[in-house]
Amino acid sequence: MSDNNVLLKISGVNKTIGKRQILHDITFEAYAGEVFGFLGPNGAGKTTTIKIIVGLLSLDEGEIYVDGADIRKHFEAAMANVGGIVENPEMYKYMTGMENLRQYARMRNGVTQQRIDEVVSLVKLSNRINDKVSKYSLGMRQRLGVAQAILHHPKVLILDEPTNGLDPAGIKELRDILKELAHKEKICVMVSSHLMSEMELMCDRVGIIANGRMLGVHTMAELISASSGDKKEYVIQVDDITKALSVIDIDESKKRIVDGRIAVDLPVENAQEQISIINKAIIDAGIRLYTVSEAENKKLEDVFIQLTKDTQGGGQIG
Amino acid sequence: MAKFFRLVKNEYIKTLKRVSTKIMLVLVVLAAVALSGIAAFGKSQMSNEYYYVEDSYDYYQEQIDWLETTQPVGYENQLTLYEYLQEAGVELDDVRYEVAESLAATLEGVELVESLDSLFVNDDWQAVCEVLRDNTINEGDKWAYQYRIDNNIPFGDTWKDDAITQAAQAKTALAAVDLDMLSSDEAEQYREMQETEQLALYRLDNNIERNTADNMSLFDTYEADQIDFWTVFYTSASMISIVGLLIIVVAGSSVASEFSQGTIKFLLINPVKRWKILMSKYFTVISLGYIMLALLYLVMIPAIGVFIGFDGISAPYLYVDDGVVHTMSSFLRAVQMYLLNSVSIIVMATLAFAISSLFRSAAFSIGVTVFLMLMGNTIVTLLRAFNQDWARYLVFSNTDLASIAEGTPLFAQQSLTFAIVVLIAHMAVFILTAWDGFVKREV
Repeated sequence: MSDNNVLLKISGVNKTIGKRQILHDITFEAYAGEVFGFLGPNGAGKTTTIKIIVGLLSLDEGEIYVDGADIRKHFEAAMANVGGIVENPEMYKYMTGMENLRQYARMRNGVTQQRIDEVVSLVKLSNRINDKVSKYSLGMRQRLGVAQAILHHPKVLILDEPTNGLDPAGIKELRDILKELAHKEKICVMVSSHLMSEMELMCDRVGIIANGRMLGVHTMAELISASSGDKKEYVIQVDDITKALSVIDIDESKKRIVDGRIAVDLPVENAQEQISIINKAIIDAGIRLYTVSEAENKKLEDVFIQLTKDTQGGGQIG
Repeated sequence: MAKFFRLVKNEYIKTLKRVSTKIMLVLVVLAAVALSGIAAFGKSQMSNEYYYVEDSYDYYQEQIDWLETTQPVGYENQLTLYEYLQEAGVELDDVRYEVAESLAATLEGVELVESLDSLFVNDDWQAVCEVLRDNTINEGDKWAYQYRIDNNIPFGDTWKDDAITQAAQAKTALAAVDLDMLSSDEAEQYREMQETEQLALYRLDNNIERNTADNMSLFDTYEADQIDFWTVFYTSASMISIVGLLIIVVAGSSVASEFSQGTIKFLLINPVKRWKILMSKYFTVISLGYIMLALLYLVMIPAIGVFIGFDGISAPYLYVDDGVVHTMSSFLRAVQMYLLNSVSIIVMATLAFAISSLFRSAAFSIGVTVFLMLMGNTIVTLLRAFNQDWARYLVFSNTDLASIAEGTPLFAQQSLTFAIVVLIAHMAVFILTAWDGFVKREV
């Protein structure tokens, strides 16, 4: 990506709270049109980093630019391009959703009533927007939070653990909204989470942080290939496991029984070819073949856990 | 600037949407109604005559009996007087009774009776004035009788009688003073006497029946007649600490509630510098205080009208400044009193605002401020009693600008300028504290 597309640039940020250094030399960039995942276990420094970016906390050292504007020297100009939700989406409960949005509209330039209506329909709150926020569910408040965050057409949208407490339908809805904003409106969306599985479905790139240090920034594709390495795992369900295991003609170390099913590791280059051979062998042996499937990407989560456990080692992938 | 007012608008919406704020505004209205109602009740419980008045006929008879029994020197004159008054049925509270007494002290026999006839029967009061003027040695009285003749003011024109008496007494007192021998206290009294004279003359010259500066505080009244529209209105100015209490609540929760509701983060990630947000909050608190005062002021008018009546509502406020009498609308004077008394409210609201920004707790800041508001005067008064002169630099020694402006400060030699400087210094500290607590604080 070219430099023109860097909307969020964090370089060398250090932060000490009390005597504890929370952040060590945090550096990364996020681009227009992508969903950038900010991944790390609880207490890694995700929220602290986000709070520094949106100006809730000061930074001890380092620089942060939003669309080229230094947040310390040109706070208002920088923040005009930032929208966000930090921690919980707490709004004024005694006001309606619309009244809350008007509050934020007044604090930003160029937000018309038409834009407010547009945003409300984007987050699918039109039929409840005139209800008091105290009557909203968590999911609705989260969506109102997103509406608030994108009111002023920010170039950078920062959401701190936005799926916390949402039900699966709510998570999917939010995911769709964020993807649409990034991919269609070319916004830079930064989302923090401690769940790799969530990131996988939402993000184009992921920055991993643990114990206040960046462990690296990777595209999703890189991570997936790193997790599986040069092999692909398939899970086969049959009626006669022992017989089936004997007819599968691959190295002993690459086939095993897991939870009453057979798992096989196949080389990436010709995995499909090999699995079809295995299928044929099982059927030819008169064994009933129920299902054959590619294994869930459990290993992606494992990679993440392994990476973040061993923070001293620098956590190199691949 | 437009953006600042958009922030203020936000703060107003946030504050006014709260049920507690609405209740407070209702309380202000209730306070106005309650004060007027209590005043009306008090008025209905008071008699018009504070002093017990004897039956006139019996009084004259007692005097006559006493004179006849004891027969003191010159008693014949007195006897003639009382017999005449008894026969004519002159009431003791008639102004002319005192004039008749003066006549008896001046004239004798037939002349006295003739003059009494002029006074009570022939309505020839000018002749009476001339007689008394020519015979009195009292400077003030001499002037007063001449004044009645020159300006055609008969006896019995109540407010004019009072004004003439005031001026006459002042003139007499002033004439007796030896200017070279005055101590500073006496000089002060001399000046006050001069002002009394000036005001009385001004009222007479300009036909001004009432000067609302003469109205007492409701707390000092003892006769129903003393309670009128302006008595209650001026007293309401000393009751504005009710508004103070309410505005302390608003000030104490303005910043703290953003933290307790969790909305502070949404407030601060906007493209607005924090000090602007803080100032918009402060501006809102202070202006809302003045809106509540204005509300109290506006509700007082119909409330007093309903309970006490609008009698005397057009009376002006007269005062002497630099030896010249000035007229001011009494409504304007009430505004002035409200504004003078608002100073202490604003100082306390600022304190509550600062504490709440620093500690982010509405309950704590409101509690501390109300405690100080209630105890402040006591503490300062005690310190003064212990001769601790440094107490003059405390904020509570300086919030009562009205007393200081009237020249009755808590500490001697405490001028208005001194008080204002001390207040500004304290306010600056409060605001800088709020600033430090809000603008620099990590959220």
